[in-house]
Amino acid sequence: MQRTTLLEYKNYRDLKASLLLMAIAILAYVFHHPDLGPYGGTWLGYTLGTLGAAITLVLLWFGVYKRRIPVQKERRKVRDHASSSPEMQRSDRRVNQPARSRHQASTRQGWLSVHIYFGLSLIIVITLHTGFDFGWNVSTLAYGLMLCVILTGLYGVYCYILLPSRITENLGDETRDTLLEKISRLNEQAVSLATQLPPEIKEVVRLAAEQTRIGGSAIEQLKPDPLRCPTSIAVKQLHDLGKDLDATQFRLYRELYSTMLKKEVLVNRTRRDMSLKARLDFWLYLHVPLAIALVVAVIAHVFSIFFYW
Amino acid sequence: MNSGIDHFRIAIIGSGPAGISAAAHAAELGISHVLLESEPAPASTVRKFQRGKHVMAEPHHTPLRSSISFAAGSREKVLKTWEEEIPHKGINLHLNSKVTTISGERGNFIIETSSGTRFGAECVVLAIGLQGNIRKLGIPGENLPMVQYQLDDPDAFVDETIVVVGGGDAGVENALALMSRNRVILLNRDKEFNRCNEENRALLQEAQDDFMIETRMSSRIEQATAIKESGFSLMLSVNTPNGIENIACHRVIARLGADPPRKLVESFGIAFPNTDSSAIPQLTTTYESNVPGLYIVGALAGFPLIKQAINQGYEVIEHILGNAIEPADEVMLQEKLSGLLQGRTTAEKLTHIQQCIPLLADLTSLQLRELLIGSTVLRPQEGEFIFKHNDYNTSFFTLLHGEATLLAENRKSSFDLAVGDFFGEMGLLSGRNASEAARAGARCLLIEIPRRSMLNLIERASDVRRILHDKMLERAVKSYFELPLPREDLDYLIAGAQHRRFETGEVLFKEGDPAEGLYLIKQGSVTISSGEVVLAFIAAGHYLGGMDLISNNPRTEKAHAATTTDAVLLSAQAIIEVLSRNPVLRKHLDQRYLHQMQEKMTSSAHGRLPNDSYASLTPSSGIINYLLKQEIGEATDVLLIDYSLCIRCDNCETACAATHGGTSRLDRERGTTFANIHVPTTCRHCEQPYCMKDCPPDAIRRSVKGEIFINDSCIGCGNCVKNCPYDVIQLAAVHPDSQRPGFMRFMFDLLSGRDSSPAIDYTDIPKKAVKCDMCNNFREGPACVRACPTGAAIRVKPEQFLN
Amino acid sequence: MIHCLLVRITRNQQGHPVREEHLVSGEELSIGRGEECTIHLADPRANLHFASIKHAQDGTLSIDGEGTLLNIDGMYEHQLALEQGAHILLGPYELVVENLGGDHDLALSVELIHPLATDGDAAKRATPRSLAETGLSKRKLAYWLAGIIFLIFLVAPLATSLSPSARTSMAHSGVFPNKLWNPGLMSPGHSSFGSQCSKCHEAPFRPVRNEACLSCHAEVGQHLATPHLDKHVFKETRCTECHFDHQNSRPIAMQGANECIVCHSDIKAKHAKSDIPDIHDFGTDHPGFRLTLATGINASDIQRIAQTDTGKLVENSGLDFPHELHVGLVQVPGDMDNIKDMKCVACHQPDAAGKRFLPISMKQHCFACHQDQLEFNLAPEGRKLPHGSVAELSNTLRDYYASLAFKDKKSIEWVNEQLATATKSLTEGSGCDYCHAVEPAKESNNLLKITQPQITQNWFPAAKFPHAKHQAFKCADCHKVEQSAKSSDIAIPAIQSCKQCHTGNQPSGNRVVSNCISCHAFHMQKTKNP
Repeated sequence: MQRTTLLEYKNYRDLKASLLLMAIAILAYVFHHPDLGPYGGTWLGYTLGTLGAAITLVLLWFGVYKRRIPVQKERRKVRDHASSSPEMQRSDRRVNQPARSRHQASTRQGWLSVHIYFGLSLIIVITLHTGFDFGWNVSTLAYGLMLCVILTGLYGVYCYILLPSRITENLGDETRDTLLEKISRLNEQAVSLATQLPPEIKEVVRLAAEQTRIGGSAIEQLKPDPLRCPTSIAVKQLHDLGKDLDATQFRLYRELYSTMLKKEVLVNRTRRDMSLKARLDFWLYLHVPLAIALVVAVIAHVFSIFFYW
Repeated sequence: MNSGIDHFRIAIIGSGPAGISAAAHAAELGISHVLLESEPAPASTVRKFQRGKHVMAEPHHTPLRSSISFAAGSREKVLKTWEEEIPHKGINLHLNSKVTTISGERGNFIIETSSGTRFGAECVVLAIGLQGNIRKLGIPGENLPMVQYQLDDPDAFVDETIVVVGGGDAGVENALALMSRNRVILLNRDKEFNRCNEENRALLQEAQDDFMIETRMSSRIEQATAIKESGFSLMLSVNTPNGIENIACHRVIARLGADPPRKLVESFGIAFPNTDSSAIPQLTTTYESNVPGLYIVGALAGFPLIKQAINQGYEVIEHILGNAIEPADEVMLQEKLSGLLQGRTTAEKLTHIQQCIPLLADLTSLQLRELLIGSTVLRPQEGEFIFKHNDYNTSFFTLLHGEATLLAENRKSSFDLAVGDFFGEMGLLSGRNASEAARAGARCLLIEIPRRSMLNLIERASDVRRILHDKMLERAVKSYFELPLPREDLDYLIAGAQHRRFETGEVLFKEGDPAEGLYLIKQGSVTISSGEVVLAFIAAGHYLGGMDLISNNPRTEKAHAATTTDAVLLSAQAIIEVLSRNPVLRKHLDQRYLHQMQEKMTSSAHGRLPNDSYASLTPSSGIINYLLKQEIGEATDVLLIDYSLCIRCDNCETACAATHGGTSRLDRERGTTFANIHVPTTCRHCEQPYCMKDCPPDAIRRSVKGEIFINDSCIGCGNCVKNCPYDVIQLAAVHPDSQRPGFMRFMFDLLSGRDSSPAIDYTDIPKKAVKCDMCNNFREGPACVRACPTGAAIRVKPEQFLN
Repeated sequence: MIHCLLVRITRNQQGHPVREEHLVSGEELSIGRGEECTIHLADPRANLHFASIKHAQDGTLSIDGEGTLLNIDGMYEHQLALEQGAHILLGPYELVVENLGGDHDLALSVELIHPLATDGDAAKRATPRSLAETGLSKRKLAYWLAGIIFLIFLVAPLATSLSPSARTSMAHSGVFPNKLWNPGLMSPGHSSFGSQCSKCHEAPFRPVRNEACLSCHAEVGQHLATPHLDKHVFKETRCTECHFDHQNSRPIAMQGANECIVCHSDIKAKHAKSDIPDIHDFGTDHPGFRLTLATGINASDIQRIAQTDTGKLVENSGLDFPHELHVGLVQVPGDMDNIKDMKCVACHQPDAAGKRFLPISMKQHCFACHQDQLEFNLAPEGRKLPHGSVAELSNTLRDYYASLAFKDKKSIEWVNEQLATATKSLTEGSGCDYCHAVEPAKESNNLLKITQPQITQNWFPAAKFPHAKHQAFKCADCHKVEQSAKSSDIAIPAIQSCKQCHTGNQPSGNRVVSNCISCHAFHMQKTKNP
């Protein structure tokens, strides 16, 4: 059900707002002719700068806000055990009287869309604030950091839009735990099947069982390499080891082989799920630290400006 | 008078709370009595409670009247007090004596137990409860100490070889619980495990694959003998398809279910009002059944709460002795009715009520008392709304005095109620929100009867049910025609009405069928589709097939039940007749028909219905079918997650936990998914909530806004957990109030990454049932939805997206 | 026949032993993986046939490792009689003799003590499954990054700017942290300060004080001529309001031109008694020029006269110099065939700055052509009359006639008479009055009077017009002198001719955008020109 995505919240309300903001900024910039050409120190420069800083802080608050538990407007009065008495039924009926305010004043969704669009507007606002003069100084550092934050943010949006449905496609009705369950089950089956088969096959299966890892370092999670997966290797080797087995053993072998194949598929699915989830998280590991760094840089920037008035 | 068997003044059957109390009181008064218990220990039902369960003393303001003491506490504590007291009360208790027959009449009853022992008694008190008698193995050695018929605590047994008998859920669950620490052999008398539910079967299958459980199919124990060799205590000879197998084991746990008491009770000659499984025998005010001298108390008499039972145990003895004692609830009833008819006795008030309200006229005073204790007397101001439309009204109102008015949705039609009339029955029966509003008139005086009491009443008193349904039908017809209808026509229609019941997916009518009549959906819901595309979803309390009726064409669409549905069919020709008699009406309906026609056209022109924000849901009927398969049809409000948006941050769960004392009522990952729609495991607030069915303290309620919630009176019995087919209810220790940290501390936690809030010790907090309450105490709506950063989580009512 | 109670011990999840007892019996009990073995050990690592338990001759039970060494209670034996409680290790299995005799010959427990690492939970093993589990932490990253930036970009510069010692020490090691706070390159003049911010920024959070500037720029003059007025008007004003530095080396002095308008757009507000007109933009409302010129001989006669006021706009320089006779081809007086082509620059030579022109002087410019006007034929020998001082001139004449009288024994009266006629002749036609305005001599003393010529050197003292920058044009484009017959004519162009090429702050066409300081300077020179 492709309902409103996180981008078209409230019919692009925030996009429009931030476009408006950018337009205003640009117009102001175009029609403003300071004697020495534009730079941060003109009244427009200061205005844009302050605005930008304000927006930055507000957007940062999202990071804090989204962790805060929703505040409880009115607690249902704590009742004693009289609650099962009929008086209670009345009070139950009353308790739920207050009509919920329809406007969802502060949904996380609203915040996110504000966060995205006004974050983007910073590109314009702050760039104009710099008046395009850059140098090897804290101001330009702040600017650079801001761009990085925004870029990572964009990447994040891209992930958020693209990956969720992929996760669903990959997992279907399974959850990761059910997959892992199945894998370990197949593992056991494979091992017990192998006990009846020649040692070399046994060895291959044992190795696959013992050495197959799911997950691992950040890299392994983000970019799992199916070729280096012991299970896959084992499957390949098994394929060759299948020859010269007597009929009964071969039946077992066929069983084993299909088991291993099943396992390989599941393992890869699980890995894929993991890497998708990892990618869904990963960008935040850039976005958040950069954002914090940005704040410090901005503080230093502002401080320096007023320190050397 | 045959000698050889000892005679007693009173024989009490069943040593549950009621039985014990009665026996104790009798002993106290020095009356000769006998207390017969089929189990090896008294209070078997309470014993069956799960370990450490918190037993409540409800209803809490009824005084306890008994010579045995009882107070709220853990199951163990309660049992302990009784075990300590019983020996000192001089109770004549016979264990392991299961009563098979009762014969004779007042003054000379003969009671025979399965062991053949016979007792004589002048009066018999039946206090056997509803659990029924546990089925035993019925083999030599069935009563050996190591043969047990229930499992309190699976962890109590380690490294034993345990034979579990019974392929039902109980048996399988016990086996699964035991397998981790013991060698478990599961005996099933059938060829496969078809008597246990899907989930258990799956788990069992796994266990078998892992050789955690050994099973013997179509096998039964022939005999059990105690042995002493090589650490084993039992030797079973088991009859398996491949011959007799001797299994040495430490214990046998047999879960063979129980015989429902009804058959037994009926065999004593006691009459039930109807064949309903939950029916309760007719009793007099003195708990005497239709068999003179045979008294019934406790759960079997329809009083499931322990305290009630204990009190009745006391009272019944008094009654037998002929002492007129007022029921324990007298006080409550007085305060309840203090409102009306000052200066009259309660009895007079009751009679007055019965005179005023025909519906209650032929209730026994017991039934009436019980009903009223559950109910409330309301004096709403003139003009005050008792409920508005689209409110979920859960209780049933009768007008005791003064006036009240019902207003139809569009305020077009409204009719006044006379004294004795009732309303709210539609909501009660359909579980849907009210289609009409009720407003109090001058000097209005109402009795509000809560849902459960009313449902009990309906089940027990069949004529009440009949009256109710007729009334509902009448109202429905009236509000359908919107214009006043002559009485005789009305009666004619109602007389011709047929009640129909449709199972899920069953077809009401399909394209091309003749328009046989007008359906009124009483309960459940119906989807209308043409081809594969679902056009509309019709919830209970609405009408169906009226247009074709007017146009007199064959059906153009197909209608089938989205869930188990009760409908009333008004036959076409009856209606046509009536219309032909009332040209005005005819005209009115024709106009409405044209109007509807236009709407239909426009809406289909737009391709979608106006004003639904989930329009994108409607086109793909695949999804709708899926959702209907998920039984969304019977939901009133369900949480869906759009997996194309969900970033798996599980904020929904965190928010839920944070706002509900630390336990999330929502499991995001569990649940089914179809084409990016995910139905997570959380309450969908059914029309006919399964959880409400069996809640001793009646703690599960539906609020005006429609959500089902559990109030603080929950006793943690876990019935709802069992009953919920979507298992969205869990038992959890909920901390009274989980405060959210102040801003500074929150920031500190955030920066330091630590949680500085004091750890809560949940151990001493009694476990209670918790479930989604739709955050009904938050103005801003459900926390899960608000917490979702991408708007993937939405709460929808079926009508919203199925239309 | 050996009857053995075989106890297979397995461990459940809690690791508790679970005993499963069978009865096995045979003549001898073979132990191993082989199917035929009575005590069958399923583990793949077990030998097909480990050992067998048999009756020894004396009837006791013994275990025989058929060639392989058996580890029995830590000792290695080929064969050993079984004793109660003996532990026998067979591959991954441990056999324990639990009981000898009793209702069985032997009670033997078998446990797989080294289970095959089936590793059923390979999947469940504790490998990190999410980035968080890998020990990556947003918080840590954030703190590190923030910390580094904090130190380098806030602490270090702050330290260096607060303690000079720190700065110097750092400067020695060649790092100048406070350059990180430099919002832009400094103006060329100031760049020499390098990282010594405190030269101008004396105290933190305090705007740069004028004193700081003036400590170097001592020569900079005030704006208004009258000091008390200047104080009164500019007491609030800070240098940095007009002079911005750190502008990526834009010259600092040229800046903030339009600050002028702040006051001059409504000058009365600043100084009620002022008579200067308001101005916003050269392009729009710049008033017409006013020429500064001397209307009389004495200093107080220097006035500013609007160019529109043509009546007063006459230069009486005390010379008779028609420009029309001095441009182009000109015949040298008294010499018929000596024709010169005279350019403006022949007389108007630009000064070093290329702004204005060197003053005109008789000797350099006029004399070349006009020397014989200065010759006075006195027979017999020719003598020149001196140019410059009237007294000298009359003395020369007197000497001359005196010498004549001495020679011819003439009387003194004759001398005076000659002198008078000579002097008189100088004022008639071709004498001094050829160029100068001359007053005839009084009877009393025979000196004639010549008004001191004064040629206006700088018409616009309050504005600058860099001629050098206008070399693209001919002089005549602006200065119309060809038709000027009177020396009183003034050929200074009016504002319109500037506006042909110049516009105000708002660009229009391809005209040059010019602001106040394109022509005017804010500061007066300390050393004022008269």
